[in-house]
Amino acid sequence: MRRPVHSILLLTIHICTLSQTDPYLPAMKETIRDMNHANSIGDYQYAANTFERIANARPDQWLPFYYCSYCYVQMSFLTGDGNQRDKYVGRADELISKADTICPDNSEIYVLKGFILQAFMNIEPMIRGMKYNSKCIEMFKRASSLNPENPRSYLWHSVQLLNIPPFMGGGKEKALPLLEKAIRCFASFKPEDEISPDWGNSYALKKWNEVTRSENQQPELDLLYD
Amino acid sequence: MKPIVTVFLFLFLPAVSCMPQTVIYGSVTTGKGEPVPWVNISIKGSFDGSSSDPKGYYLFKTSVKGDGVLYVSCLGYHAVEKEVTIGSDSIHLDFTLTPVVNNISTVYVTAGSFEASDEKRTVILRATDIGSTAGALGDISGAVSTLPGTQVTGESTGLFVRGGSGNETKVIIDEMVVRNPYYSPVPDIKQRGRFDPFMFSGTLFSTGGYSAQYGQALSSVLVLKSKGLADSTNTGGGIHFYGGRFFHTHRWKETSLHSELNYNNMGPYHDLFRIDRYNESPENVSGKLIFRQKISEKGIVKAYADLSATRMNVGVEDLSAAGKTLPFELENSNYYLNLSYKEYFRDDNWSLFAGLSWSDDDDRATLDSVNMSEKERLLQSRLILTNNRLSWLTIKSGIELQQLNIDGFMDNLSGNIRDPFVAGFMESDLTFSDRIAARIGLRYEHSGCLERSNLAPRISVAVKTGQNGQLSFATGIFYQEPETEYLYYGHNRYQFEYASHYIINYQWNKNQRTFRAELFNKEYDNLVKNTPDDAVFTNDGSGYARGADLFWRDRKTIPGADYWISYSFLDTKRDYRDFPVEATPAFAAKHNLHVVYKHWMEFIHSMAGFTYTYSSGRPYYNPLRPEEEFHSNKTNDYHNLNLNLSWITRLFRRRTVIYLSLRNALGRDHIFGYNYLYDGSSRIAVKPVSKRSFFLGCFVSTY
Repeated sequence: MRRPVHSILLLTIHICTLSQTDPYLPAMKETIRDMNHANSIGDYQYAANTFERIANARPDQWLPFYYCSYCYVQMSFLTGDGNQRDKYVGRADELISKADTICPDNSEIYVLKGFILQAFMNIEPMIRGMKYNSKCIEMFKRASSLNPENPRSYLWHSVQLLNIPPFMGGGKEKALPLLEKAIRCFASFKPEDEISPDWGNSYALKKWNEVTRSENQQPELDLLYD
Repeated sequence: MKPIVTVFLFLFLPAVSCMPQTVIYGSVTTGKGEPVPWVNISIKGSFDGSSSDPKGYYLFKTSVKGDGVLYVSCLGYHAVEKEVTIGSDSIHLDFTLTPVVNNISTVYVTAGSFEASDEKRTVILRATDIGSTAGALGDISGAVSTLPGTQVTGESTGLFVRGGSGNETKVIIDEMVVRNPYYSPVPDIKQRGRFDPFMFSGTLFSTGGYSAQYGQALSSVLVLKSKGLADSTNTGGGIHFYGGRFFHTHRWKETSLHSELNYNNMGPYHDLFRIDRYNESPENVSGKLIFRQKISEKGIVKAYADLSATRMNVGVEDLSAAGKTLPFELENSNYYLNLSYKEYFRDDNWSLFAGLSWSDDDDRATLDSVNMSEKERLLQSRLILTNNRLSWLTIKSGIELQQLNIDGFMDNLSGNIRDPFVAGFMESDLTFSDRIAARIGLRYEHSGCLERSNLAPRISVAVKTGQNGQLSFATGIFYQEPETEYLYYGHNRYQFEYASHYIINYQWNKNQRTFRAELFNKEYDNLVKNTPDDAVFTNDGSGYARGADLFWRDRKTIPGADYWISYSFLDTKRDYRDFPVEATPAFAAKHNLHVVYKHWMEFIHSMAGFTYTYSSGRPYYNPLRPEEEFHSNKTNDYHNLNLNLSWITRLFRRRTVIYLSLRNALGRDHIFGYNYLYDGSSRIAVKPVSKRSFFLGCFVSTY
């Protein structure tokens, strides 16, 4: 007679302590899952809003700002309206700056900064390309120097080189070794924990296939499928 | 007892920590009742919240109890906060969001102004457009003069805007007037601007009705905003047909320094193409230093120094005997220094600008060994305070102090002008809604030389007429001191010259296509009038200029291509200077048309372009005609086709641009007017230095 009551009591206590543990981790995990399944502006905005709520409640964490910024960059690729794209990229930039203040000199943050610049240039490549290309590459170089094992810095550096023609200092020859390095790094990459950035692997492989398959085509910067 | 305790615990514990959740729901709409989707609704300090759905409805559950704050935010709208007390009953709350005004799709004042910027998307031109326009050869005024409202001039220096002379346009760099923006004037030869277009991140060209922030220009201002910190360390140089250039830019974390050396000599070019108008071809050497220091998150100090020396000797037609020329020898040295500071304070609600500039221009000129030298020195300072604490109101106020000293020599005579000048202005930008915006300003000026003051109000209003169109209106009063050649005749004898502008503008902008139409009316008064023989000067002159401008730009229809067409119609007459009757000035043509076309060709990494310009005949003075028929003769129409090609490649593993351009590709005769011999026996056409001109250059830089 005693045992069941006891176990009910234990179970109750267990449920209650569970509900009292930090909801940060499960909330982040769930939202990252939502983000990874997003394929429309609405999906990304939904995830971005959740990240923003988490960020506001936990202003000491850089990851919610980081992911929120990432969602806005993705949204910028999903609309054709230049003004709206500028707004999304601008918001992404604001958010990543916040992440940067919380956690300075973080390799992942610099990758995203470079990625945001890519999205910004992509809105008006003719006008912005020349001006921001070197700044963008600087970001990826900085990211690699902060963490030479970070595959994403090599991936996006190579993507940027593919975006600009050889006569401007880009091109396939320069991009391919970086892309291969990215793929090697992805193979050995272990994220710090369940919610740390761990994206880009399948895109790297897709890009590699694309570049090595087509001989005379300049691939364009396209959407990130991951 | 024990079971009771257990039962009690079983019932109570969960009730404490796993309390039932409260539902909060409602809708989010704009003021007009349209739903706002994807709005973020949250309880501050907790993870609880939700996004509104496509119909603007939201619903979420929260276990937060007691007093809390609901935070509602959405990109493009002002965030809203609301205090709530969360009990056990569900809460229904509807929100109305107001869009952030002054952003991209809202209204902005455009009447009378063309803005080029890389930072804003609303502008018509980009900074890069200025460098890449055929025929402009990297000259800012050359590119600006393909816009409507400007006059084609091949013999006079400066921007001639809507019936105004070149002197009626002022060039402003970082809020300060540049006294000598062009190379020193030479009779009947147009001179280039001194400033490199790549120095600037923004350009505002006003064809009238401009802001109260600026003055002393009856027609127009060209406002240039210099770049901030250099992007990165860069070294480069170039050689071209007329000379060469070398620069080095160094970027530290918060500091950048750019140094540059230029040398130009037209001699080899003139020899090659047998151009014999010069006895000594123009030769120029100049050096530049550009310093930038970021002093805080949002504060920057800028310094710009430019030193330049020019020398030439050109043959000027002698009007006392046919077939003879007189040597005009010019040596010029020019120093220019511009220091400025700008910082934003208190969450960007306030900003302060302080600037100081010094220019020293020394023309040592002789015409047939008669001394015609002039020394000009201008010291100016400016202070501007801006407040935009309220999103719908920006108030700008400033003061300006100048001291202008000019010493002129004419043969054995000498004269001087000492002009201490004070000005102050106040201007507010009001955004009444996302459909109506206005700018109201007032400017006060006092000239020590004229010993007079003036008060000039300026107003402009813009109303959005639809998704893509807007209507603007601008009016204002503009004053300017008479030209220096008159000021020599004494202080305290003139009034300010006066102009009033009325402008109506319609602009339509969609998908990289822009259409603009503008009607204007400008009334001149108090213009200086003189009789040539007895040198009596009065402010009795007057005049008018009215007309219409059309502009169309399309960057979409033809892939890789960008073109614009501008047309201006001008009807202007004046009775000023030594005009015997009211007449159209010699610089004004009735019709001006420009077609600018640029095409990016990916396969050869080149930008090719042309600029075609048409201008109807301009009046000239024929002394053989009776006085009533003053300026009744007109030159032939002007047609000009400029071609350019820039090829981007890599040399020495560096970014390289090879630039090729040709002026007057069709080889038309360009005649800007006629000078008659004093005895009237024959006349000499005013022509460009050469029929065609050709430019080839190669520029290399590390990135």
